[in-house]
Amino acid sequence: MSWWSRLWHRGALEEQLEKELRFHLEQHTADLMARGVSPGEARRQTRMALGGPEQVKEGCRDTRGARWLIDLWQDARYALRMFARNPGTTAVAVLSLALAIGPNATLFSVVDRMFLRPVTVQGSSEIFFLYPKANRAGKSESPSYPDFLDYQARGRGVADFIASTGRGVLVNVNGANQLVFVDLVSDNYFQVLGVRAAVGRMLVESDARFEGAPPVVLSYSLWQRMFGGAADIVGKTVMLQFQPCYVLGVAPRDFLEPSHGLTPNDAWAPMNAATLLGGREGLTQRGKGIVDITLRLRPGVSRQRAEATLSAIAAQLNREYPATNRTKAVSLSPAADRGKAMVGAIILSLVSLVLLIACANVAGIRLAQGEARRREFAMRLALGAGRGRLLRQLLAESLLLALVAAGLGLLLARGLIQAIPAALPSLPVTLDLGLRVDARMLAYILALVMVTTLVTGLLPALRVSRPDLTAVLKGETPSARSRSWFRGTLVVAQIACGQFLLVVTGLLVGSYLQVQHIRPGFDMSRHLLFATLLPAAERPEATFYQDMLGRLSALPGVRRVASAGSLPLSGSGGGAQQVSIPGVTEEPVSIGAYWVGPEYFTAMGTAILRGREFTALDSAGVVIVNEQMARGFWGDAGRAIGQFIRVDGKDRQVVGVVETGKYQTLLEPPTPIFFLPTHGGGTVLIETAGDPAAMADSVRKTFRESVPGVTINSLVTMRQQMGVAFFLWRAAAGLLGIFAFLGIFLAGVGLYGVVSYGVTCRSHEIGVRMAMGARPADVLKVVLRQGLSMVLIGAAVGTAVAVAAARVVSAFLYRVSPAEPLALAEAALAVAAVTFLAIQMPARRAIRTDPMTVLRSE
Amino acid sequence: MYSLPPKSDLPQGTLDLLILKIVALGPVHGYAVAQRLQQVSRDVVQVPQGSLYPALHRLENRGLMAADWKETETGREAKFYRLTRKGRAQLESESASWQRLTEAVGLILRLSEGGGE
Repeated sequence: MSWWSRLWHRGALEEQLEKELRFHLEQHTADLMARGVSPGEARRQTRMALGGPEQVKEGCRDTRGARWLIDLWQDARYALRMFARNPGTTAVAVLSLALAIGPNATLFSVVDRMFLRPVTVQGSSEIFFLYPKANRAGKSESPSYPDFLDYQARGRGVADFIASTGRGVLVNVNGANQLVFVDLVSDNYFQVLGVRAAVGRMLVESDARFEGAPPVVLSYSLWQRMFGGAADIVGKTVMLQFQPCYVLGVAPRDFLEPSHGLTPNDAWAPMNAATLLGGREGLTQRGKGIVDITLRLRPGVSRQRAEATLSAIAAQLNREYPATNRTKAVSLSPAADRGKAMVGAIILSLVSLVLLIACANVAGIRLAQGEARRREFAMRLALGAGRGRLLRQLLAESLLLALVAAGLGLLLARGLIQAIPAALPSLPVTLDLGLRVDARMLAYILALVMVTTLVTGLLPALRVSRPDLTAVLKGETPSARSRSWFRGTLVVAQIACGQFLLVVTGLLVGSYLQVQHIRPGFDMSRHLLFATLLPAAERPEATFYQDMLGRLSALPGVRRVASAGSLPLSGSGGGAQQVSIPGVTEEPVSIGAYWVGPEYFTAMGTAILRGREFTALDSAGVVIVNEQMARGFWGDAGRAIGQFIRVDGKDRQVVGVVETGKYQTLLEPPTPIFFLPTHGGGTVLIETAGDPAAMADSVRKTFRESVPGVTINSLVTMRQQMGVAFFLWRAAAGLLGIFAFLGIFLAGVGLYGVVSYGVTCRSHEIGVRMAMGARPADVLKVVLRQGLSMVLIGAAVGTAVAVAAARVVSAFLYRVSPAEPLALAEAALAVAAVTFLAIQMPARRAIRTDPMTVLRSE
Repeated sequence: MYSLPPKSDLPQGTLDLLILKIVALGPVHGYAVAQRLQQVSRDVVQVPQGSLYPALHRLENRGLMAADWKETETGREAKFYRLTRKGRAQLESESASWQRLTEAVGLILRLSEGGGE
């Protein structure tokens, strides 16, 4: 019989045991009576011979393999009875833990997605990225597709090379367009990565020689999102960038490419399909650094050897193609990035402090219960129970608490995960972060449960399972001093952890405030509405954009309308172009460019330092540069006007210089950028007289009624648009803030417990003091001294640790010193508020102590 | 805590061997095992009944014996133990090692005091 079936048939086993022993007794009695012993005497002798029937039964039960499980079940039932007897404290304990476990698990799924989850390809330790290395001028230049083909051909001995280049394309489902990300990949991409399709098959080398509709592989998320997970998707035709494509298959659900970013790809197509999928940038040009190269080392090839080979190839290319490759250099970086895992671990350990605070609460409660249960434990020890058995009982109770809390925490985490998309800034694309309750998250929760069980069970268990038996059984209580010392330490630790989190939060908030003062090169308080448009046809008519802008500017409440290809700090645009000064430098440098329409700078509130901005009359022959670029090229903004630069072989005259802004991130150093004129861009800027959000509906209506042929992909105000740029700061400060306040709140609960318990224990002393003439203020002093000393020690320790550890989070900090006064003040305020709330109730109770009642109870 | 140490005068582990031997003679219930141990050993071996049943259950749980509920000659239902194949092998190896041990103990005890043989 397996231990499981033994447990299952426990009732039947017990019955049989009973029956077997009864048979024995009756048989023995019958034998004795047959020998002439009187029935009464026979029964007596029989029982004497067998000994205590319960002991015999226990002996038999001990031989069963399922014994431990049955004991565990008993422990659990006993624990449940204990909890039912103290519903209030049990609820506090469970809620404390659930409040800590839920957010911790939620954050784990985010951190896991961003930093921890390994790339899901076979042998990811052999996968490396070929990174462009910064040259002497401090610039790193990406490899081009011809470069990739050369590396592949010449480096065959050391590694397999794959290339990919991403782009946004329109997917048309049921007549509506939507923007998705497609990765164009080299023909060996999925074979080298070793990825099997969830449905159908992935791209193979022969797919590169397609005729007619290009083959594509969809991501699991896109398949679910837009095609409802239809099983017959393979062989269907989907419209990508107005081009029918043939669906080969669906990638596995958990597929993460080695070079994945925050935005997962939605589909993959062969590199040759580039021209069909709206590829204006030539894959054949060696000067276009647009591909990411990844490689898998061949067996037995070391990283050093591969790096040497690749550097040699780069040097060959430098000599063979001096015009484009003169300053290109490469280095290797492992795909299994330890640094990222480190960041994830730091974030998780920061917020797991909240769980420790909650654990300390529960440990404190258990300790108090343990004190009350001293007699019970002493009794059981005296009756022969082993210490191990008591320890197991206490651990079982903790485990039960932790499991119930984990269940609640899981529900909380599920709710939070569903709420996360609403907290994200609105983007013109659907971001599927792939957050869900999965096996990894459950495993993390289980790990939290184990830690919780050990911390909340072992601490009190070690203290209460060695009582002085005789003293306890005689009814003596240990001194209040030794009893509260331990809990006091716990509270100090709790306050320290809470204070630590508060100070770190303060630093992040301080950084966020500083970052908001950065001028991004335009006016952030403008009344602007941005509409990102998706055309329904590949080439809208020439007059389309002019018509549309005209109609919009005729709307009441609209001051100005402009258009742009894409906006700074929006996460897209600013792609590099090869720029040179004709007659001065023939060696091109790559500089980012934006396409903007007439009146763009006025609408955005960007300062025009010299010259003018684009007008409706401008042709392709003009360009506007930012101050940084003007200084770099001509030494001074004033000298730039009228000069020519060569962009992609075409000469353009500089007509204006605008202030240098921020283009990719808020913290980037001043970067040279230039602007090219366009008369129709995918983004429309609408400057309104009043609140732009109020205009959104009428703008939408105008589009629907009088501008056929486009879909509004997103319509956001300037404030929302900037949300993208500030998002990481806000998210970091906000998240840690939530955890910090949760932490200090839980620490407050712990403080309340200890102070309140202290008042109860000392009610006699307080009563006597009051009877002797102590005033309420004196009593208050006694209570406050105990509570405040714990808070002050804890806060001091927490602050010291936070200031010392600020370096760890320095990557998230901007222009704040570790001892930022604002951060310290915020933390001090929060701790003071929590302390006041936690202490005032027990303090009031202490003051109201009636000496007569106390003395009478003696 | 739960199991009391067996208070028989038998050396440790011998009780299991004796039970296996008795059960090897044919299916038998617990009471009969006790009776037979007493009879065969001419009252020398008196197994405290408190340790008999735990021993029976232990052997059953270890798969050395199996049990069936059957009627006795007097028409009552009792739990009859019988040896499994594993039990039989165990009995043989245990008996053999017991034999070797007693012979060795005998040899040592027969040593004449004050010098070798």
